[in-house]
Amino acid sequence: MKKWTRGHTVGVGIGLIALTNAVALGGVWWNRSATPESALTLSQREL
Amino acid sequence: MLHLDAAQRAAVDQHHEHLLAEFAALFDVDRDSRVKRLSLGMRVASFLGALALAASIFFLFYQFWGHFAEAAQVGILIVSALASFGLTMWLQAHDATRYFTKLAALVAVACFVLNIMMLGQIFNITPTDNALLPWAAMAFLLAYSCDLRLLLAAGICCVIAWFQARVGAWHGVYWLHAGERPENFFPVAALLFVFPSLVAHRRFPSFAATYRVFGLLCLFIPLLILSHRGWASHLDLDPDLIEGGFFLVVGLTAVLILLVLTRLRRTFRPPAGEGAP
Repeated sequence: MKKWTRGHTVGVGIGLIALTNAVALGGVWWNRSATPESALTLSQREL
Repeated sequence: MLHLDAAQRAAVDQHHEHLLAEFAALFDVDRDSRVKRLSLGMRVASFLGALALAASIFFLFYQFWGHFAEAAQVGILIVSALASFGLTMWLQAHDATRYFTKLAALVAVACFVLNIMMLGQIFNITPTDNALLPWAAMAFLLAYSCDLRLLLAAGICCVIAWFQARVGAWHGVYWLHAGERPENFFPVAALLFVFPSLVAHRRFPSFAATYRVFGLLCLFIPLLILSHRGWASHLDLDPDLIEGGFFLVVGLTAVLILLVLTRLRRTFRPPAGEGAP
């Protein structure tokens, strides 16, 4: 079996951070890309 | 008997001094109790200093956090997670004491947890127990690469939380409330207890005990809770019966059977070498 090196740890760590952020941000992008079912416009007074 | 004259004794002493100096230079070992106390004091001081530094950085960002744009906030979170992880790896290659590597590893996991938690807050993402998995993965990765039991415990806690949430969700309980049913912890208790027997930890002798301790905690704390709140059980039994020690009797019987089986297996195990060609 191939020995686990620091290079493996670096690769897995960076991959984990990148993948987790990609999944979270991808979900956000997918959620916002759809056409909104309804929209509510607030005036300055209501804000 | 060997008698050394003064010159030979001095040469031996010099050799020992040289060896000690070499070990101190190479492995940063403490040569006597005074140096040991001093290095312990320095470790405590540097730990408190690192904690104060981390808190001050956190509050500095917290003060101006609202003024940053969304993209900048996301960028800061990702860069902080990557930078702290990179710092840990760099320190691992250069820090002979490994103490600062361990501090950096703790900071790296904290940054990663903060990264995902803050993303959830910024974009109002529905809370999910799946976030526990990457946190556990990062904690395990750094625990095994830096030989850090504290991070192993953090990773195990994440696994426990995820497992009991899943078991609860399969019963139809919302994952944030799954902990209200103590029996949800029993499967992960069994898993944690068996895991060190399945995977050898020769390079990490203290890790196996940590898994077993958490396995036992996942068994005994729910038992303690069930002895006070029998109605929290999944079983359709009288709460008084459960509080009266139903699980305790079942658990002790299981442990007794396990002990008897283990003893029988040891008794009837063939001697080493028997059956070998």
